[in-house]
Amino acid sequence: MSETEGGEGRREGDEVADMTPEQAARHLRVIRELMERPLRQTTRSGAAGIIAGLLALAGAGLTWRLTGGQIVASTPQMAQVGAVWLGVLFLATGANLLLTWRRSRQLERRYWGREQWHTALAIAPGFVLGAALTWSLGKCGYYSTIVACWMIFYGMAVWSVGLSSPIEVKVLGAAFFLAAVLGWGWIDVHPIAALAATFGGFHLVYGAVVWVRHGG
Amino acid sequence: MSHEAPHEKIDEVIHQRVRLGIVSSLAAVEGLEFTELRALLGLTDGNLSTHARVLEEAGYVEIEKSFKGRKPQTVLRLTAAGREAFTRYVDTLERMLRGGVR
Repeated sequence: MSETEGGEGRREGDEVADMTPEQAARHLRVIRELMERPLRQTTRSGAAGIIAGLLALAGAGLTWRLTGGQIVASTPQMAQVGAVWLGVLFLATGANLLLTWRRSRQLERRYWGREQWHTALAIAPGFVLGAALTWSLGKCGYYSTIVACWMIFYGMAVWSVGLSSPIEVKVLGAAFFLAAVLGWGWIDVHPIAALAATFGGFHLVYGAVVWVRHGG
Repeated sequence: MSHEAPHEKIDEVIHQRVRLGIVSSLAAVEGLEFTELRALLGLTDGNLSTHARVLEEAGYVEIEKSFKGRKPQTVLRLTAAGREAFTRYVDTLERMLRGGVR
């Protein structure tokens, strides 16, 4: 890149005119690295991940109590189970918003700006499609398949957010997606254990890593 | 028909090393505080101020000074013209890479 401000022999234009494709590639690499650097100073909160994990574990425990460990089409408590997980989603989202706001204040960054709009827009398709498919599967009585569907669409939403976030977010999204694909048959038989392991366990690990690397 | 040479397509306000660092860092976020940007790029106050002023004069960056409580705060943001110029700059480099700018 140009070091000169002009008037010291070679001018900036001369250097640009001499630029080779290799130099252009090096410039682009540097630009990409510079663009990624501020994103690593994330306002994402490790504590929010841990709280989401704990809430999911509590949700899995409650689901177990309500259903006796069996999620099948004839389970009469499915509406209650749905309410439990809707509650988990709302509480985890609320905690995330609150803790992200706190982190923004700590880092003296704007709470709601372009970055947050990108996040909301990236999440939206995964959540909307996931909700629609949950509704359809529920109506047909395929309750045990709903868990794998949640994992896939949640993983998709998190992966999309991860494209403009620190690497941990992308890894979390990929973990959900891979777990759903690799454990497809097993999840149908053990949906509550899958909920606890992924929405509970994955979030706890993610939260701990973010806490250590970026802060609570 | 006239053919522009690569150096005629390159925006020299952005091309300078420090200014490219400032613009690239601001491109991915909504705005950065002066102190954050200084730390990210490893610059001195004077160096950052000089180059930020050049970018401000070119209309590429807006510098907002305010107070957060009793603490003065300076936030730098890319303007629409700055984003457009940065996109054009990256596009030119990509075309150079593909050998398309001749």
